[in-house]
Amino acid sequence: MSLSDDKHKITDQINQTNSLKELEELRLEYLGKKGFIPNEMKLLGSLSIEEKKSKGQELNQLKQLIEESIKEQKIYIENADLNQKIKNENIDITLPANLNSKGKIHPITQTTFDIIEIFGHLNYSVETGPDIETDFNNFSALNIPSHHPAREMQDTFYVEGKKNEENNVLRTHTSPVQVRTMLKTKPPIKIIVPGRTYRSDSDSTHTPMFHQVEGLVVNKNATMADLKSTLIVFLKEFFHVEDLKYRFRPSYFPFTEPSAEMDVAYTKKNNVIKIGEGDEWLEVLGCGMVNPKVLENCNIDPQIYQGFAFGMGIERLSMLKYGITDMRGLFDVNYKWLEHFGFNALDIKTRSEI
Amino acid sequence: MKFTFSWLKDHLDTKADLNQITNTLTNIGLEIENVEDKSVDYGNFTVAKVISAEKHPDADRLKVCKVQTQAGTFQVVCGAPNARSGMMGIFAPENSFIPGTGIHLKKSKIRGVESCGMLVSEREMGLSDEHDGIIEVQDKYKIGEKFIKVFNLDDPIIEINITPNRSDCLSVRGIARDLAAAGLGKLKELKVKKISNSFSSPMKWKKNFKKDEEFICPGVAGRFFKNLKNGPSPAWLQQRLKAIGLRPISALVDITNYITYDLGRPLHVYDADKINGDLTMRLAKNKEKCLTLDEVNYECTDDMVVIADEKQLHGIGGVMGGLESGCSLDTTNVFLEVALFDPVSVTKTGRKLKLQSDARYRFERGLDSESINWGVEVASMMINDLCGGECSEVVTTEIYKMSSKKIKFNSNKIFTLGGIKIRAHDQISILESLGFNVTKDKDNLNIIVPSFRSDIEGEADIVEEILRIYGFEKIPLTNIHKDEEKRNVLDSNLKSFYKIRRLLANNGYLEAVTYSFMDEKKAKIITKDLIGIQNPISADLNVMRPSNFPNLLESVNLNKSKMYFSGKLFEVGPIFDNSYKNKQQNIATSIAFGLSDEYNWLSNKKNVDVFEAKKDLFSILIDLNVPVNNLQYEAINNNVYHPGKSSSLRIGKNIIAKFGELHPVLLKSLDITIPVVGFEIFIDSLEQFKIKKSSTKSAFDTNPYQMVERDFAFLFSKSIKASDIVTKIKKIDKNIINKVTIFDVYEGDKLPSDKKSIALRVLLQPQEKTFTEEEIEIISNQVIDLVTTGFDAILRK
Repeated sequence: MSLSDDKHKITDQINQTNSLKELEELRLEYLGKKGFIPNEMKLLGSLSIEEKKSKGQELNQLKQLIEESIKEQKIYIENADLNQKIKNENIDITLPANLNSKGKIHPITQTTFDIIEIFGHLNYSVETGPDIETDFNNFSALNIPSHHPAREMQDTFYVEGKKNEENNVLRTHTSPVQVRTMLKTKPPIKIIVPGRTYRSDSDSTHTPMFHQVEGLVVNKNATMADLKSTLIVFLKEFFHVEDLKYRFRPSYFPFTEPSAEMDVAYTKKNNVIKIGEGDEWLEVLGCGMVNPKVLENCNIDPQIYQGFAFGMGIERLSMLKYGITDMRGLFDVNYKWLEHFGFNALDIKTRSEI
Repeated sequence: MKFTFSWLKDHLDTKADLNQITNTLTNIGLEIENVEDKSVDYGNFTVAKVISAEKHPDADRLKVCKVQTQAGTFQVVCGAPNARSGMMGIFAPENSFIPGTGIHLKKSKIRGVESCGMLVSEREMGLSDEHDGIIEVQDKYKIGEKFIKVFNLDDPIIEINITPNRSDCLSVRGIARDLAAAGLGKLKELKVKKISNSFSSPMKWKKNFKKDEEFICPGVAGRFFKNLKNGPSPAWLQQRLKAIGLRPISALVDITNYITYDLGRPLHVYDADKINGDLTMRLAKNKEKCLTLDEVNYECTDDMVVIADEKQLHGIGGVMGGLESGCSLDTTNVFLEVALFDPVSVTKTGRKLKLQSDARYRFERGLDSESINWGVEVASMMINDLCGGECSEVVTTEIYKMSSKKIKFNSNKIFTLGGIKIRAHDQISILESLGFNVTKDKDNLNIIVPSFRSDIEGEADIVEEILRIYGFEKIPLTNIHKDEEKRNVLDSNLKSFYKIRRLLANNGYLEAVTYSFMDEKKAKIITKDLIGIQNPISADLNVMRPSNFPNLLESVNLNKSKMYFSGKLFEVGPIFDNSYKNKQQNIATSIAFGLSDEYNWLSNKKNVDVFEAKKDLFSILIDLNVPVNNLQYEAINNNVYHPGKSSSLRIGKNIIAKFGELHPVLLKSLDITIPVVGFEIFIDSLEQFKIKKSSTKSAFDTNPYQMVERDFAFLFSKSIKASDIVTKIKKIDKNIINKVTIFDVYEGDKLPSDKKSIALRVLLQPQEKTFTEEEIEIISNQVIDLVTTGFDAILRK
């Protein structure tokens, strides 16, 4: 029998094994110490140099072939065993898994994030101030003297304090942070101020606490055209509308002159409000050029500096954007509501929407 | 401010329609609040004649009427007792909307008889509550005449929201002036017919103020009218007053109200027979009483301007006249008051007395400083016209004359502040149409402000005047995306303030936003040192919250009924205390209660515990860059946390966080019967752990030597704290002791009652070469020695 005949016989034998035990028996038969290959190797010594060389080579090749075949067959048998074994491993895969509870971000926070993101791109930085304010910061510095009807535009909460203590109002708007910022920073100033605000007012469209975001730009050349352009850029971006129908109309705030309010057009279909087009108008913000008196009150020379300011209600923006109809729902801790109107933790507004 | 379209046309010569007027008003800053145009809802209703009225064959109370209308004759079934043949009524055709009942009228059969349209009652027309019969109109009206014409409802009512600066527009004339300036017509000349005097006034006006208080009442003028007749005012005047919501009283009273709205000039008429001697403007004495027209006896203070005769007070200056000297239908002799008052003084008085009036509303916003003279003339003319009688000369005190305000205005300011170019010529014509007097001097405009514009103070105001009339919509847009220095959007403190919300939500917590105030009764459990609100919106929102827990906890029971038996919630916001900087600090507060996982077949059916809160807290702190291994534990002793199941966490002096099971006393006060765990993160103390902006990471540790682990179990006294044991072991060598894990804690029957067993796994990292058995042995012994001697512990085999 020649080695090449052996080759076929042996590989066939290997390939026909069904268990690791059989395979091991074959391995011992051919490769074991007293097996076929070692025996053949021992016989080589009696051959001539030439024959020894060629036969030796053949034997080595055969040995390699057997080793590889065994290795392959081993994997084959193991896999067959595994497949056999898992045939009985059936579970009811439709049973529910244990999910992590899903947290949510409140729509007011989400709206604040949106606002910060948009103004952040426009190079604004965020400033904050305390909720309990001085009369000076909340009113007087903003050109709202105590005996002026403009005070009555905002119903103020007063907090109890020690005698002669100055800070005793709950800020009625975020504007006192304008004053704080101007008093401590030299222009150029470019800030937004989101935060809690308070007015003694409670009905279906007013809650005694609400949120505003304030904007202030002070430099040597900011104009009303810049103000108008800034707000349009913001509103388009915020409401995701390319063609925003808006109205920029004169109004009055003691701390700005000229003053304006901005309305956006909307349509209401099946109780869903669509912003940006239509014949109805919704007021969304107040704004104007900083009143020179306010600059003076904050130690900024109105002969050199000028600027603009704007303010808007975060609740109103949230409600318009997310279709929330009852303002008071925002402050009720109703889990079903929070789950419904809340946002996923990773719902981060980026241009790429990653 | 309310007025009617026809009233406006008294002052404005215009061809503009209602729509143009209202659009323009909004565009120039006089924001439309409401327009009531009855021709829209009521246009269908017309005068009709009942030709016949027969009894309904099947109903005693109903009548079948033939009604002749402009569109033909219709059969109408009607239940009104006054429906009768020959009467004239108001007909509502089929398919019209009945405003008083909100019904769309359909052709129908009433008890088998067809009825087309309806004869309406006053209630159905929304005119009154009258529903006993149908409206009857006089025979002089023709069939087909419009209902709104017959009832004078065809004059649209316009209501605008006047901002506090525009006192000049608290008059129809002021509004007309603005509209004329905006190009919607021409302001008509104010025609005042001078009434000549025929006798000398028996009464005088006096002022009694200290020299430095003269400004409180710059002047007052009056006039005596005798032998007049005070009856009801004419229909046109009554209609106008009714249209704006005022009740007609008598000619004299109606005249004062009319001039208030028409020209913005409040004035007062006294029944001269009820006055003793002259009238004097002066400051009140403390506690002096004044009974005013609203029939309230007000107690004055010595900073209020009052009007007095020799015996008593007859009015509160700029606010309200006295009851006793008020005019009645019997009044025949009248003394007039046309005065000016300091706006601040009127505001203070009105607020102190909590007394609002149309007069106060105008005086506190500032009147035309020239209005005394023309006010007397206009009032005289109307009194004379409507009440007849004779008239004295004008009597007046010294009138403190205000000099006109002058503003030097650089016409380029429109561009530098407004961002729009408007020719100086156009600027001037706008200002002139608004009543300003302007002269040009190169780029500068020398402007004299009209006496009725007390709100105009400087260049910025002039810019606004020009721009609002020129049109805010014409301001061009600019490119705001100019390159400039990049700023940090958020400082590190604010970054934590906002980022912490994402982290909490990512750990399964729902964000809530609740009021910063709460009920004092509930807050008292937390601290005695509360910040109260002087004028709370309601009694249960009367203090600033000293903690966020109560507001979050209140939701537990509320949501139970909605089948939420477990929850994880948080709020980020301020809490208040007098001892904090600015009286507040920002805190992230969370609560968790109920099952720790979903209730299903896999659930461990265990309630959340302190370690669940601790797990969430620590993973959040790690994300906020807090070195959690350096946190020191400190016991909490208050009514917020369970004293035995809570801790505050410090680094140095700063409290970083507190966590634990909430105090049963706190929970009980809110009727919560299940355990709740929670934590608070003190955001203001996180600033020290800035979130690094740099993306570079520190070098990677490539130590190749095999790590080894060894387990130990010790018996400790129960009072020993696990963190102390771990810290001590780590101190052996912080490089070699890579990690100490507590993998088992046992307390119970098999141990003495004051003992616990703790099993530790220590992971060792060789530094220079792989450890030999001996080296491991040495370290193990070190661990055992340290723990047994340091904590009086016993090694368990």
